[in-house]
Amino acid sequence: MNSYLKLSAVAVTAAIAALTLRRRVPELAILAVIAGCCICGGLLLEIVSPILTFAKQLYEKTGLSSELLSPLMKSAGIGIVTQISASICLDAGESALAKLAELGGMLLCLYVSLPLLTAVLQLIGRLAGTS
Amino acid sequence: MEIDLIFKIAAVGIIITILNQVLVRSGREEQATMTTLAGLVVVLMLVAQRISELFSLVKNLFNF
Repeated sequence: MNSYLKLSAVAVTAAIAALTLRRRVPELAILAVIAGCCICGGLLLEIVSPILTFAKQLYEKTGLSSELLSPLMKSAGIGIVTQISASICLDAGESALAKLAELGGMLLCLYVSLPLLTAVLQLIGRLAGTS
Repeated sequence: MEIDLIFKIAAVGIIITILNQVLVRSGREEQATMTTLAGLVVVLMLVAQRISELFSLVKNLFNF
């Protein structure tokens, strides 16, 4: 709860700082937003860390290989970074850069899922071969 | 405290605004622009450190 209250306080403070600076020095306004995002991101990851640990423990109980969990975890991390960077680009008025950041995130998620997709293809091949 | 960074950026912004106004009114516009750029570089250096910390935290937490 404390981390979340800190996160809210930092987010509101950064928004007010950005509003104050926007008309005077617009470049610093977006830097204030980036700084707020970095601090809030750190606090958010502190909050999410026990949830991730529990998810890993739950996954271990299924008895599946940990290589199968890795693309899921990596995709979650890529999603978070993509959301933050695309939103910052949109706040700065650069929608083209935001779209490219989102596209990069999508392609990277696909890339980290390739081992999983390869395993699925091999399984289908084995099943098709035996049936 | 993490929130100090936000206050530092706001303080640098206000100082830049004041210096900008003073320099522009005394006819030194190039120096006003250079002051703004210097302030930008200072804040960028403060923020870049935090961005790097955030990305290493994401890397460690999500098994990259």
